[in-house]
Amino acid sequence: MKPVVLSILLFISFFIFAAPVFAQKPDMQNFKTLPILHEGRIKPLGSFAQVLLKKISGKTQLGDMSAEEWLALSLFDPAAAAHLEIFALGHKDLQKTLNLSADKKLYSLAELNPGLSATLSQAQELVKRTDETFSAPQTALLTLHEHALLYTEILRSLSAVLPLDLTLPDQYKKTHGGAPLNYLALSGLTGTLDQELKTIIKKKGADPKNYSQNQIKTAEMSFRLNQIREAGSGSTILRVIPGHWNSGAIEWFSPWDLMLQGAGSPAGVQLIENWSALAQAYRAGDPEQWATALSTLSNTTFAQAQSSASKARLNSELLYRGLKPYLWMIGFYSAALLAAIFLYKRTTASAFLIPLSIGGAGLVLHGTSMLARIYILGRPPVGTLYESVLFVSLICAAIGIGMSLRRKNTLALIAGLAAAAALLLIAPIALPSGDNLEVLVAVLNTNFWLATHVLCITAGYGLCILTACLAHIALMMKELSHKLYKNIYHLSLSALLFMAVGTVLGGIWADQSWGRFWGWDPKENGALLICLWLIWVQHGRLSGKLNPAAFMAMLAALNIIVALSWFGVNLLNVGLHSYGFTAGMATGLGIFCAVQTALIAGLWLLKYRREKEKNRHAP
Amino acid sequence: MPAEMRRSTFKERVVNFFNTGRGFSASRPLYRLATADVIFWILPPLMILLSIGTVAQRWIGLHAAHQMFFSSFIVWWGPVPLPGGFTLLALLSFFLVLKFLLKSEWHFEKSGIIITHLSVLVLLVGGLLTAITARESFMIIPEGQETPFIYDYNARSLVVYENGQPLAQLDFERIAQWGNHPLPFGLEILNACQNCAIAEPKTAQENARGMARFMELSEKKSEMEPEANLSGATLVLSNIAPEIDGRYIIFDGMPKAIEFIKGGRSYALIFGKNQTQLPFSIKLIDFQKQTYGGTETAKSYASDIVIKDGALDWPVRIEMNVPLRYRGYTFFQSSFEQGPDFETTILAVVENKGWLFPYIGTFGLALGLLLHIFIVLRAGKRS
Repeated sequence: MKPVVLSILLFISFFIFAAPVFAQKPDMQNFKTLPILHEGRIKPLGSFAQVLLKKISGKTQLGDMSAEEWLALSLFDPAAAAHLEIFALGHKDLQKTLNLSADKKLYSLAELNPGLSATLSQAQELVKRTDETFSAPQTALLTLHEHALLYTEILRSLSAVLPLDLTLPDQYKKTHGGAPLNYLALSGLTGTLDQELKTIIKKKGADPKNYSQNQIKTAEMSFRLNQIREAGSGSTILRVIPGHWNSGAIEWFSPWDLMLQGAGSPAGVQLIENWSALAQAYRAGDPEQWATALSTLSNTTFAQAQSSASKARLNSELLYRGLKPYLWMIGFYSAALLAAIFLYKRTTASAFLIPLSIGGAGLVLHGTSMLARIYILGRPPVGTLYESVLFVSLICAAIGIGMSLRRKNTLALIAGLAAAAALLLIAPIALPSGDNLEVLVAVLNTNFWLATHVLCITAGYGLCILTACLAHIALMMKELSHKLYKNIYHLSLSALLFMAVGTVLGGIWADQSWGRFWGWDPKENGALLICLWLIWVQHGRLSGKLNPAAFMAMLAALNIIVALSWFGVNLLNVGLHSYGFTAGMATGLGIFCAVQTALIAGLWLLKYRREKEKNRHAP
Repeated sequence: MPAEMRRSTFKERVVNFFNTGRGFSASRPLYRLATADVIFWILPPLMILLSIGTVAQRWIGLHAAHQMFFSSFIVWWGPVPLPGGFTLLALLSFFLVLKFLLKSEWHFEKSGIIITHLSVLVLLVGGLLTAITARESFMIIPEGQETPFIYDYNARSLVVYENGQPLAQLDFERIAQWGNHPLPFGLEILNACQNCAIAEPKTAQENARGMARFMELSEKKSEMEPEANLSGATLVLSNIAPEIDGRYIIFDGMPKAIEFIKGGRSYALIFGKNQTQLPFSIKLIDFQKQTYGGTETAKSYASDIVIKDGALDWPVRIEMNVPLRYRGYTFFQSSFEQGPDFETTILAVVENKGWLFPYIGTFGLALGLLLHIFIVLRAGKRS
């Protein structure tokens, strides 16, 4: 967090006139498809708005105000936006710390500003600490300061083209009388104004009381233009202008970048002017003017961006976000699961087809959304922990549905759907704080290994979880049918195949990138543990040391082994697989392992007693 | 003569041995051990060791946990000796070989299992070969420069140069025995620290020279990863000249070597990571770091280098996930240093005679397991 004096930055946003409100909502379709470079990739402005709003407020829209409407207001009318209630505190103690009287879910920047200014030194001290063992309120305070800084950066992104609350000094009325009163138009005067101010101070001192009215206007204009420039120099977030010397392929710039860092070009200036026209249209509250300005801006931006921004890809991303497939998938899988459980005892064709069709619809949506992610990101579907959960869920659903179709086995459908739905429900735990469509660090940036090792391992996780779920069901049944036993055995062999091949492929990747096949790194050991467990269970079955009930119990325990290997090793925070580190899930993981252990032990004990009883009564 | 009374020929006994494991008397007790039971009992301690060794990394670091649990024959639990990684893997390999030789059923139905077991053996042999032969080091090359030297990650030594040529070298572990080296001047090691704390001297020290005038070294707790340690020593030089004789300190990465002239020859004392000369040299033409636009997140790292080996000048690029293998060494893009007017690449250099085994093992493992699943499913269909 940069220790910037927040109150000054906030003050800058109030230099700008408040704008009138649109009589009816302006059309945001073209606005939200404008391309922007954010977090390493080109995304639509609508996505950018959603990601930022979610980060700051935890919401993707504010009442009936969509994320892109919020962004437009923040960019074009910062004075009004500073009063929008968008900040979530993150911890109840902060209300007292920031001296906030009202108990609300969300606060505005204007409300928070006094409290943030008062706690700035506290936040700066926290930033300097290297141990990073913060309490929950301390973490919340730091996060709030970061969010406030982020928002002030957004508020002043276009401050160069917004009209200023200033009066032009008499000596410039002739030359600049017709030009808009904004920084962009007046920036050419800053040198002269500074000189004039120095002369005034030399003659009359630093106290404005001694100045004439025109001298006050001159001093005020010089001071404010300098303040706006200083504040704008840190505003790099709105990267909407493609770099022209590299065909827009690598770097894009914010308006302030172009103006202050010498990155300008005639094409860039043209885009800034287009943004200025859009700001004027917004502030005029004129829908027609807005549509025309937006169309010009959009055409110019895409023409300048050339191949670096594909309209089709941006639209796909907006569609993906708008449809919210994640929620639909949970809905479909849960409904199919309930139907399958409810209709389990019935033997009619419809009793089998109803849950299968609902689950199938969920699977098609799931598969399509994964394909959409591949298209949007231009890489294989699994590169982050969150994506691995989505993919493992897909594998569970696909294999469960596939098995039930092929073998007319409703239990496989129940197990697959239960695993898929449960995984989707826990997916938000692994969700990154920013965008869930992320670029990858250098070592992961290889499509070959992502498509082989990562998919192989995650498919292995899926097969293990499905095996474990079916083994749970097998333990619950009074009589373990030969067919179910065989199905589970075959699944466990497939799980071993994927886990073993995935693990050694990971070793080869490590050999290619770090120079050693095996380094006993926690992530590697976790994968090996699953393989060893599966091999152990298979040898126990072969040697007769594990009877069918014990074999099932040990396969059911695969859930625990997979959870520890998949999420548990990330909690250790050591090793070369640093990109997978997560925090804050230890308690949940501990509870899951304890509940699973108790459940499996209980089910196995019941089964064992039942078998014993049966043997006693056998002739 | 009835067939059962006839003494079997050697060929028959070999065939019989491979079919049943019987025929050679020495194989009989071993035959009993070549069962799935043994693997069933060996794997739990291996899994426990793996879990404890993994969790221990959080507190004692990767290197120490590696040495204590995985690269050891015995792990001491208080006074109780428990089998370490080497012991368990050796046992696993032994029984796997027994199973492979004595219990393998040489027909198609078991071909998947045979190939899988053989592949695991290949992986274990590769692991053994790697453990014995692999050597990891690194190379630092500033842009535009050429070097034949590689450095060890952990091992340090004190080297005395005479007229620019190494005259004597002693590993840090034996640094206290420096007195055994015959040198044209006196050198006594007062103390050495694996991980030194540098502090201002509490009292004015007599005969302190060089950096010893401003600082002294004392031992502090070792870092989790040994390569992060700042090792050093305090030494006394004598019989050189009155203005040079005295107490010095020397440590890892010290900006200036201890240098003096005696008898018309120049001497330099350098302490640092062990240095080895390759039979060829590498020149860095250009280092490139690409980031994702608008972020500091690295997208790729690459070094354009030239291998200079006698008359050979071979331009080649090393990048993340694309290493270079040359004359038994493998070079990986490991790290870099960048400043306003310089760029330096850091390449990891690995010498490993067992590098090919994992590739063969992986292929065999995939093939064996696939074949086994295919056979099991086919058998299931038939039944």
